[in-house]
Amino acid sequence: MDLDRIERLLEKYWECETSLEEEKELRVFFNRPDIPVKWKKISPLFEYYEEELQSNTLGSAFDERVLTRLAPMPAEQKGKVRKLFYDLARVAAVGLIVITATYFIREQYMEHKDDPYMVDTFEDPREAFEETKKALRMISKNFNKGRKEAKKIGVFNNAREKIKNGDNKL
Amino acid sequence: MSLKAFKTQVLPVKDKLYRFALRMVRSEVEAEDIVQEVLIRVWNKKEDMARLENVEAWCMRITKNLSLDRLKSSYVKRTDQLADGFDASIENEVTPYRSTEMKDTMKRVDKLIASLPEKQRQVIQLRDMEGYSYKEICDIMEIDMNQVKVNLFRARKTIKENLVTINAYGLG
Repeated sequence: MDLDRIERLLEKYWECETSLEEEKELRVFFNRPDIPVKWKKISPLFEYYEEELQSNTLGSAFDERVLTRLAPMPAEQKGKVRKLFYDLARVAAVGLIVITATYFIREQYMEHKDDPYMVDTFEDPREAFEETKKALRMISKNFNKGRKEAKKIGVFNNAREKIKNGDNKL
Repeated sequence: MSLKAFKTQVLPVKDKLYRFALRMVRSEVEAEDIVQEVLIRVWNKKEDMARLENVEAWCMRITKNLSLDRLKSSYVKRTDQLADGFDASIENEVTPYRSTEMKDTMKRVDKLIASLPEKQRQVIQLRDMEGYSYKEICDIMEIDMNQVKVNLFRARKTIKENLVTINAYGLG
């Protein structure tokens, strides 16, 4: 290799006027085994540059570590479609329940539409009045029966009063 | 962007990202952690990628910002370490990573670059090691062309002076 050229390139290098190609040339040159003595001080610099590039690398184990940390991402994207499907299914299920329920309720209603309690029992108002009175009388009778029984409880009350008064006298 | 595109376009840049992060935080564990975070961020923003003309520079920029954030959060600790380091003798001061594998001459270069100001260190990494164009470096570092050149010039000047003088006085 032309040593004068290297000398010139080196001068340009210190002045920051070299191109990338020329800098590469310098690096290649100074990484050769037989460097002239006058450049022994400078060559470690370019050896260092080369060495740094060679030795500081990340292995394939690193790739795997990174990729496993990225892996959830594409899975999540697939999940998006699945999520949409689940949401739609949920809405559809609710709709289905409502429709089914409506159908059965309607069915029930149609079946029992003509049952007696769904229609008026009496045509004649007088007859209805009599019937109502009868029903109320029955309630009243039963109610009075209950009241009679309740009166007996009053006996306990009287007894308690007496005892109380007796206590006061003592 | 599909996972396949991520594997072919983004993942191969990982070593550059790693070296760039390592240059700033100087801890292999932390640098690796940063690259992981960068890749995950890139993946999460994959929709934006179609609009970018230079995905690699974008990844590098995220790496830079994340690394600087990490440095900022551990700033006090680091400055203490640096202060101690300058008091220690040159021979005993080993860089925190991979120092044992390096030749002495290279250790000196490593230390020299580590002692450069942050921006100069970044420019050296991007230009002299990774071989980025000035324009790409502007893009990554988010500074203008002039700043890039000034930083590179100062860095190379310091390196040149140190390499030549230390050797000249036989202090290696």
